[in-house]
Amino acid sequence: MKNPNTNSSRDNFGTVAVIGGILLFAVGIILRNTVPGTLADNRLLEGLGILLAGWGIVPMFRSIAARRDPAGARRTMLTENDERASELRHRAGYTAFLFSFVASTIVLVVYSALTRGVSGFDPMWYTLIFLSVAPMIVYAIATVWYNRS
Amino acid sequence: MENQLEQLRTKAGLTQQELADRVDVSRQTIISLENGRYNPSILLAFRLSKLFGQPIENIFIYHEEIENEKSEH
Repeated sequence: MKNPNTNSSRDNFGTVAVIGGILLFAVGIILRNTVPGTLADNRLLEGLGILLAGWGIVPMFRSIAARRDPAGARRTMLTENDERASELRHRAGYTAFLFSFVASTIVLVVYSALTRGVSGFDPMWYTLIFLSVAPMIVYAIATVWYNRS
Repeated sequence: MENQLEQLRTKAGLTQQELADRVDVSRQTIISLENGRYNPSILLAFRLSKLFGQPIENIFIYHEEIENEKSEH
């Protein structure tokens, strides 16, 4: 069970990430308009800035809310880290995994039957094979990993 | 698995929310425990045991024991 008080560093990270993202975005715009031939030309810095700010915005607002209402924030964290809620999430996730595996396999079988006899490279068939097999491979690797850890 | 959680909580004068706050879980978990719809982790069982000053087996009663007790009477 996670300690509900350990989220404060993550919330502080949110503020830093948002400020850093805005700075990166601003630097990207300034560089692109003033110094040609840098990484900023293809809006890379601006994109990274938006990504960083977007990553930090929820933890930042959570941090602000926690300062205003510490008891409410603690309760929210308890609800998120609650062992029963965690177990329910795992069970729901496993059900979703099984459903997606069965559904993608059925679609693959139907698609294979419909395109039987068609020769040549078929990207859709390979995509369906990937969608059907990849989750099972991840599941098998994760099971072995968790068994060892 | 049956449990004495509701009785112990009432005896201690705690609300479900207060008990939840004391053992770091949600009120919904306490409700589910009291209704016998959820079996706690060993960590939560120890926390409850420590809070109420009772051995775990006094709070959570394994159903097989109840059946054995019934057959003895």
